[in-house]
Amino acid sequence: MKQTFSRVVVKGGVLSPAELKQILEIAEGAGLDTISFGSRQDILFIKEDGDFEIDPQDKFQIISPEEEGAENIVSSYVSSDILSNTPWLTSDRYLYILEQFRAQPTLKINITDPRQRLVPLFTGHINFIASEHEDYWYLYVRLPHWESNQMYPALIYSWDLAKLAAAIEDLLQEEPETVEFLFDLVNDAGDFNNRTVDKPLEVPFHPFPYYEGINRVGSDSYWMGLYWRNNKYYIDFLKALCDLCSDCRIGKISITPWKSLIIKGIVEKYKLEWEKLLGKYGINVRHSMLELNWHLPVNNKSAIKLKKYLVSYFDKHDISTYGLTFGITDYTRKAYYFTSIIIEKNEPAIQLDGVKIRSTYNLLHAKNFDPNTQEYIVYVQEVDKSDLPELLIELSKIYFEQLGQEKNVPEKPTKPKEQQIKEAYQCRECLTVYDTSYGDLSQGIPADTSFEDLPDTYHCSLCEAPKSSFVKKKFVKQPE
Amino acid sequence: MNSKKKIKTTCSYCGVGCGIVAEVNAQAKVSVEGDQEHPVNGGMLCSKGMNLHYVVNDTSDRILYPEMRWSRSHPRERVSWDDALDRAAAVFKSLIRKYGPNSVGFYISGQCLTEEYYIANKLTKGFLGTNNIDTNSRLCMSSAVVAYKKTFGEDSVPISYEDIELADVFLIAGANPAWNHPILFRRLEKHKEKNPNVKVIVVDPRKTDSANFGDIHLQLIPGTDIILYNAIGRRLIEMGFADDNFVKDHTENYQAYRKQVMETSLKDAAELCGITVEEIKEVAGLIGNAKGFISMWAMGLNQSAIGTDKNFSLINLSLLTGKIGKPGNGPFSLTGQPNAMGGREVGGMANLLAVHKDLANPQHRQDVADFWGVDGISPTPGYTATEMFDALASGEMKAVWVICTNPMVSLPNLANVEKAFANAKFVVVQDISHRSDTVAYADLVLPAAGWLEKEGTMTNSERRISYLAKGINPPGEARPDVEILCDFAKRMGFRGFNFTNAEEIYEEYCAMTKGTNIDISFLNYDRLKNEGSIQWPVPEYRHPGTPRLFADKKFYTPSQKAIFNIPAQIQNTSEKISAEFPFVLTTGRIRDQWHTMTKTGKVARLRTHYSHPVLEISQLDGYIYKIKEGDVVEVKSKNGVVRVRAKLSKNIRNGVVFLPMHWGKQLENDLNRANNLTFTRVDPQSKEPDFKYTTVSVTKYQKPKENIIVVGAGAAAFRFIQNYREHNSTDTIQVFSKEPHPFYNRVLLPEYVTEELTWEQLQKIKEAELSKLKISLQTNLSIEKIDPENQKVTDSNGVEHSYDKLVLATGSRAFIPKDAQLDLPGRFTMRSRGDADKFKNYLDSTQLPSETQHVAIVGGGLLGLELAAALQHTNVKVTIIQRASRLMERQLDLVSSHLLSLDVQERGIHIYFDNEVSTVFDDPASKSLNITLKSGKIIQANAIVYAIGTQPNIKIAKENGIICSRGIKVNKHLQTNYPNIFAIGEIAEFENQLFGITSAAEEQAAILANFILGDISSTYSGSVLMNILKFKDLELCSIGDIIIPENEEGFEEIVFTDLSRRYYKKCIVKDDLLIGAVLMGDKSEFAEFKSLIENKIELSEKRKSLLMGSSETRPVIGKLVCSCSRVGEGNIQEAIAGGCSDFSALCTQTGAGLGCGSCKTEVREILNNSKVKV
Repeated sequence: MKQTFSRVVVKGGVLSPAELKQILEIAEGAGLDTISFGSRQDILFIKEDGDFEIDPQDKFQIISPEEEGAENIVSSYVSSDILSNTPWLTSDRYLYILEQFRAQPTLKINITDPRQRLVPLFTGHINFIASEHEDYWYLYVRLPHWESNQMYPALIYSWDLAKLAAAIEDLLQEEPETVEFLFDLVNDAGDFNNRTVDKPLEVPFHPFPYYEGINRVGSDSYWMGLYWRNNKYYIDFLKALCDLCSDCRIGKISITPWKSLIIKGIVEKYKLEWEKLLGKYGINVRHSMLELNWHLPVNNKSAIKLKKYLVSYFDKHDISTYGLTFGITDYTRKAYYFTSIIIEKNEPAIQLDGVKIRSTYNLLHAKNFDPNTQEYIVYVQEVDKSDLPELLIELSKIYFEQLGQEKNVPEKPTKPKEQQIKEAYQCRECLTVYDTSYGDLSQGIPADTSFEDLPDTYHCSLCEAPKSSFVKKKFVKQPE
Repeated sequence: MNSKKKIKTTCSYCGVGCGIVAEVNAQAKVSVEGDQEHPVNGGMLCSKGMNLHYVVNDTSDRILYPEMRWSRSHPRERVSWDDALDRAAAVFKSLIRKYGPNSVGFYISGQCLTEEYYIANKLTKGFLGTNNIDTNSRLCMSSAVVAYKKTFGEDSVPISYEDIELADVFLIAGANPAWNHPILFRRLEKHKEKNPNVKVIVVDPRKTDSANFGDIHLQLIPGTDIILYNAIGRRLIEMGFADDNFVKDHTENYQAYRKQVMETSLKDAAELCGITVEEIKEVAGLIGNAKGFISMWAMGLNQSAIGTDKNFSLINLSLLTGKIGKPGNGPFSLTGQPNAMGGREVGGMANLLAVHKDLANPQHRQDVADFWGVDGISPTPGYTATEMFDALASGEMKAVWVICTNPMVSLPNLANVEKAFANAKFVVVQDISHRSDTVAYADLVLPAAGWLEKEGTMTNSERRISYLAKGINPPGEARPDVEILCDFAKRMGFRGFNFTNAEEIYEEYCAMTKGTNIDISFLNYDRLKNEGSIQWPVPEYRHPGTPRLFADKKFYTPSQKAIFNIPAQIQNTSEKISAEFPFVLTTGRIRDQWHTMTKTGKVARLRTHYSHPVLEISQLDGYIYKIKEGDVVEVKSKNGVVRVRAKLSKNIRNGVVFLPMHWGKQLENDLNRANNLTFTRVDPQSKEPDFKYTTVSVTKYQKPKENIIVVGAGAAAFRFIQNYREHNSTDTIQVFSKEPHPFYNRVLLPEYVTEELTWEQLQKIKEAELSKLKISLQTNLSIEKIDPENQKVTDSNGVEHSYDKLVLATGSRAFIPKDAQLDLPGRFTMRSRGDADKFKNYLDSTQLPSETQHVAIVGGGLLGLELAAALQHTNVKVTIIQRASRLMERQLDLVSSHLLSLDVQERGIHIYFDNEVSTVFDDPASKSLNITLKSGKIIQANAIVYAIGTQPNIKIAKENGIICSRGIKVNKHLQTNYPNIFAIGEIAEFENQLFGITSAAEEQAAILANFILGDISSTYSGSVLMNILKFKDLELCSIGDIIIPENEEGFEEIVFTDLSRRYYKKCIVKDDLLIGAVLMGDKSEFAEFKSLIENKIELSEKRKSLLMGSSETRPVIGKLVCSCSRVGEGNIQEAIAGGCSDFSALCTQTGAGLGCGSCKTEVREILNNSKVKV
């Protein structure tokens, strides 16, 4: 089939060097000399000046843009061993879990560790986020027609993730409106080893990490991150990279949501080999943080241009943006945002003939500049491109000012408990209460007997005042 | 502001009243040390006091908010303070209106501060109009109070601790100060060490640590105390040791005394007491010749039906010899509670009035009423402790307000107390801890501030008043007791409770003392804060306090003479032993616990000395009644039953048994509660219960014969059966083993494969031994179906078997990847002997020399590594394919995992990290396997072994209605949702956790065996995970949590590394507890660290020396003796065997006794016993 753009699904953003090499060979066969990475940790084949042809594959799922609902699973495997993690969530645990996902999901699924910042937590429809309890996950669901993420009222067992995600997909036609309803439907559909949520998810704040270059981890091991400014990775270089991986007994290559690659587990004695490889292909691994922390829509030229403009401005004025992330978007679906600052491009106003109307932009930032709060605050609206750099600098300054300051303990994300107001009858004398729902066991009155139905001989169970001394009162229940 | 502040205060445990300096750091965490300048303890603290900060810092058990039931049919729920106290006031008003003031009452505590006691009394006696206020001191020393009052005219302890250093003969009667008043006892020990002529006589039916220390131990028959002291009196008179002048000038009623003591001959007395005439003579001789004679006593005299008379007979010895009012002389009652004396000063009992005034005296009543500005005080004495609960049970009393005490454990005959609470209309419990059993019975729970969270004063047992400062804020909404009581009083509409702080209350009380014998009108908070503690009376400006009373020989009686009180009878009036109840039960305390353990029970290191309740019984009685050490016994009295393990002792008289009184309910089961048995009989004068004399029967617990089915024959099953058979040989035990080979050591399979170990070496039990266990063992037979309703199982042959108890120990099976084709040759797992044999045979069948064989192992966990190492030992080439990026990644941290992988690779084992097997194909040409890894690598090997992990076998449980999650859900008794079905080992899921290690399986099995055998105190609380890698020349283990969670405070990491020598140690410490450790290169500290982690023993001083090398750290051997330095009996014996025969040197060498010193007598005894053997 002919196409100009295809996605190769890479489950969880992790694959072996052999697998990557085979994908590269397919791309080559289609006449490409570069590949790109997508923000869901997938691999993109893009041909700008014409079509290409790909043979259907057994081993890899290659999806054309027209195909709907075949989404990659995002996972934070890439960050394990190099960034902080939940103790029980080790790299092999991700692999066991990913292995359970045999069918291609139609919803976006994220499987992440809340203690890392490289992979966004809430950008999927089904977001599994590791809890402190070994092998149990929080689940935040935002079905395609929902406005926001809702917390599933149970923790999910590691070996149930695939089964549960499939169950949710099967229930889509029921169009559940709330997570509670979804919860009931899912439980009707199958048996799950759930566990009750004992405390709300806490996502510790970490500044956005640097993810490029050769970095030491542990006593004699390194990891290497590769970033291409234009997201066009040369196939011949990548093939050489796969071979070197194999020589160094490196089993896995990871793709980040920032359109870059990470290779972990480089042993000291091979470090030189890797430096040689980079040198030989003239690969720059010293990009400024100023440009690493951007997230742009795939293959969007105007976005790339805007980014270049802004980054060079920052560079010229020696501005630091370390710890922050920036996103440029054309659309306004806040649920998908996952950078600390968003540059939202507005739809151009109605085009008048021959008059070119300049685009305007909105600037938003996440609450506390932490995208995991999932709350965005509009900073300015409808400003001109030329105003953006100074406004962004202002925002970075605000970020650095608030950094490390005592944060207000965030309200627990569980929904506020409704104040329970109950009506009951109270003895005027000793303030003892008769409540229909409990009855009065001391006088043989079963629960659910209304006050009116009590015999005339009924008296206060404590001080024995007559029934007539009871008055109706409203009670507000104290939170536990 | 200072980040740390130091507060001088007083220990909140016993009546000794040791000074403490508490330090509060910036995080409001408290640490304590003895106050070097304090006259009582001079810096020393006992094991309880020195761990007081753990009690304060751990607020997990604290009551944080008021909770109330709006009626008995309501559940208890959180309410506001306003709702709580308004309701309390409404209830009290309405009950008093309808039933009169005597329908309500307060039951308070000797732990209450003087200000609290004063306010509670003023409220009750002055304003509620009833004298129904009593305290747990009633259970403790009211007999001594009556005896003092009747002898001296007032409840006045004549002497001081400093008299200890001035006396040369001590008579300790019915007390074990070595355990219960350790710091006081240390002063005595020191005095005796310096002055070897000092003699200590101990009278006790049990050979306690105090008795061991004493020169003479009179092990009398319980209840014969009066006979003994009268006999000593007779001997003193006969030998002319009576101080005739003193008796004539300063006492009354001597002739009546003389008459009574002369009625019984020494010979008869000796016989009645179960001792010898010579002993009586010797003791009388010592007392008569003493320059300073001090008698000390506690519950052994007080808690008796004739407690007051026993007190009289003892105090009379001091009058007879005139040894009172002189330095180093006097009768000295030891109090068990920190402020029992302060409580009595303010009239804190149902028959007392403040400032030692007499309730029966109309003038005294009017004085007090006038002082408080009320019309009058009721002349009727209120209900005393036990009477109060009887009145609640009978309906005469309607409401009770319990403050700072736990009657649901401490009162006698608890079935009656339970009835009282059920029958009461309204129960208020004002306390600090949910650990108090009484909270469960409350209609209203009020959270109070605890020690260091409020200010006030206390009086210790030598009349020493000390000020306790506030150091930290109480947690949650808890408030100081005085504030709660005053708030309530105001809501009741009473005047006279408008105090803004504790000091104003204290001043009001001081004003009341003016002109009395306990005048402290010149002792204010300022003096107490600046000068420290002072002994009352303090009747003048700048008066230094009064260490000794009656120096002028003027007593507080009308005649100013001391009175010889004559016991109404010399024989005990308690119920006699009978054929049905042939034993006398005496109850008491143990060294490291206090009261009902709501505080001391929180401190792990205090639980090790005596961890669970046992019945102490003499060896002879054990022999007669066929009770072995550790047997579960049932102790019955006419009031109830207790079931505990027996401890055979040579320290207790025949016919007498002992139970500690600390334990309450365990998981809704009350069979460990000593006071189920005790009688409500009280002393007629003091109303103190007869705790020390309950007639009981003791029998080995006879469980009905049962049929037990055990499914599985692994480590858990084996340990269960073996433990079970130690105490029970009558039940039938049927064991079903799916495997043909039962009871072998699975973890040694790698060595079996390589023939380093024979099959016999793997077997846990030999045939002959197995037959002794008398089990019916069916191998090759699995259980396929469980019918919990009818208590039947069906085996794989379709045969049904009934059971009374079903123990599931089905273990786990190897985890096999979905695409592994184990049915094809060359692919293996390594879980059973069958697997091992197949693998072995297969390798043999290749007929290749081992050097040319190649085995690929999938999985770099314990099993994979051990198999690799074993194979490598026989020169087989081994490759490990590990999905994770490092070895044993859950069990080891980065550094140790890395060091391990270096070691493994140096052994010639190849490892592929981050790798997975893609395909395994047969290569017919080379008769080997082509294993393709996902990374593209192709390995050629003769065999592939999947050693990835295991999965619990819970299918039959799940299919038959047993609640499962990842494993089978079990409670603390390892019980499933069906009470007769249990699960142990790898399948048991306890509190959401599975414990897939052998040590956990064995621990669970032992606990379950004990539980089924009837020991309800046998409960499981989870195991510490640990892993030991069995490599021949590499020591490596990890225990507990070895990774510090990020962004969490309070964790410390202590690391010691020498990478080139592969030597690495890491300890993780949180809140002074060791929670995890990795030991590589040398794991000699393993046992010690494991026990520190498992028992959650606070590190305290040990923290500093954690990794300082093994010479500093040695494991506790044998029974724990010293809980401060953690020294076991074995350690001490070792030191003695090594030639250490001097006591002090022994302490220094072992560390025993260097802390609080309360174990010193035990250490000495070990030393003495060892000498005898030589």
